[in-house]
Amino acid sequence: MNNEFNEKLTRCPRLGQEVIFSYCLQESGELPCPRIMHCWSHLPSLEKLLQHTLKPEQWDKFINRQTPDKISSLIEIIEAAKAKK
Amino acid sequence: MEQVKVLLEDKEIPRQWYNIMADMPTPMKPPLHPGTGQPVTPDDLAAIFPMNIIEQEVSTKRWIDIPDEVLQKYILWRPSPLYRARNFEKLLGCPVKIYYKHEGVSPAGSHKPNAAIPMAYYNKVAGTKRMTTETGAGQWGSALAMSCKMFDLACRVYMVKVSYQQKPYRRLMMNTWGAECIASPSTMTQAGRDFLAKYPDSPGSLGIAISEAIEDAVTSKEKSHYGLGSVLNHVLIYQSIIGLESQKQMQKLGIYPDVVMGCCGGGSNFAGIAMSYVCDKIHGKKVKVVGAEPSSCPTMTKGPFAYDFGDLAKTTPLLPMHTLGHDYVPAPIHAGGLRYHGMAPIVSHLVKENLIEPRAYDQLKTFDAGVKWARTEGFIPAPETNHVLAAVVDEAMRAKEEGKEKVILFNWSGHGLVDLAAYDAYLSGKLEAYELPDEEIQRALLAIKDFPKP
Ligand SMILES: Cc1ncc(COP(=O)(O)O)c(C=O)c1O
Repeated sequence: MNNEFNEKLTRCPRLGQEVIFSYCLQESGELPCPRIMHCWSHLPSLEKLLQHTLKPEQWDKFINRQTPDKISSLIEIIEAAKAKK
Repeated sequence: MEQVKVLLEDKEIPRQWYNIMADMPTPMKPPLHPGTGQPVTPDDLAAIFPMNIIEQEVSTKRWIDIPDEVLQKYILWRPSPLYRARNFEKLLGCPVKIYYKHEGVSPAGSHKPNAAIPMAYYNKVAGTKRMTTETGAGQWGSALAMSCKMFDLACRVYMVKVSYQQKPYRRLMMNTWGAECIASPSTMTQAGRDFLAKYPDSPGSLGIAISEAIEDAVTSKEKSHYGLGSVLNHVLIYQSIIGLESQKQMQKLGIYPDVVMGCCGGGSNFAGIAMSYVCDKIHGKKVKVVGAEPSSCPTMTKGPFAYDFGDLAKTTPLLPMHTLGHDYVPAPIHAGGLRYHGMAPIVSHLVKENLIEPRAYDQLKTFDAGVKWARTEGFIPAPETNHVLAAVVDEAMRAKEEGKEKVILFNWSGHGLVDLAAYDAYLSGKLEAYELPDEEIQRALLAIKDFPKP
């Protein structure tokens, strides 16, 4: 990746540190961070980049993703963890 | 000599925390169990929190006694000083008096220990032997590490790998306080191993670190519990000590603020300074309460933008319109897709009730305010704290435009001495808004072609 691009940082409010764009692109493993549109909204070409990067079904998944509220997501994780006991 | 600090004696520390749930003007929707669709019960959370904490999570009691054992730890730095920022006022040249609670004086450097200490204490009382948590850059992890040591609990912190590698100092603070700090994803948990098998080079994420911390607590042979550093009601209750102290300090000055402000990540320090004033407001007092949240797009600050408060029906996120723009505006986004529930439900609810006003500030504006602050008041703020500083500057300018005198009170949530890399990025222009030309998109695409695809 071109150096100038690679060196551009944004402050990640979730981690509390600076990250490069490619971190946000694959933050959730399969999908970009749910906040990517927000944190990199100063990139006018962001949508183009994401649409190029993600397969159509990924793009659909990405824009339709609903993150649950905190308690619900904790319970989901608890249930998954109990299953590993 | 002009008075700059208002200090309380140790014996003047508040003896109770305040719980806004007792004064909510309208009921909040209970969280639902994702499996059953039924309201969550205390038992659903019992695998990760001890019952004494769960009771506080669901409590509607207005006042909760602070145990002596917790007060004994709080007074290592509490009551925290209330300052008047006379130098910053002079720089701004606006008709405002600016007061702030200095939460950077805690051993970990932020407000986080206000919650970590009672959390460790209640776990100790409940017979917990060890605590687990996740952390990004380490503010919360370091606060919990210190607090666990105070109550002789073991502590394991799953730190997102990218932070573990790039932020050694908070990791070393955790180690110094006797905690184990593990880079996540790790091989310590099934969740971590599964993730690593799929994505061996992953830099980690908070999501996977939370899964690891919870799995560790749930499956441990030793009695273990998990601690969360923001968002939940009990955390907000513990942080209420900030606002309660400030009320005593402002009373000594014979002043009541016109505006109370804080920065909002998960909402805990903001709620900490704000809730006792929101209570006054509910009971008829005239006070404006403002929460400052991050945004990267300068145009956002002009509108009633409330992305992190995004579960509010009345504030349609403006963001997708800005970002997706001209040729593709997918309806589901406006219908709620891409929302990220990072904000405390109590704070979101109070925004909906018009008791709190959210404002968003882009990162350049926040660092600009933070640097101005450091160059006048001396203390270097945490980058998170810079959000409220941007809001204070904004409010001061509004006062000037309106020709009104105002008293502003805000929470200075932490110092930035372990975050100087962020200032380096700002001062060297690496955080600047940046337009991506087509050829760079192509290069970027090439560079990420091997990223995981579902
Ligand atoms: C100094 C400081 N201020 C504010 C925040 C935001 O968190 P919260 O909204 O829970 O106070 C953080 C989070 O790490 C922090 O470290």
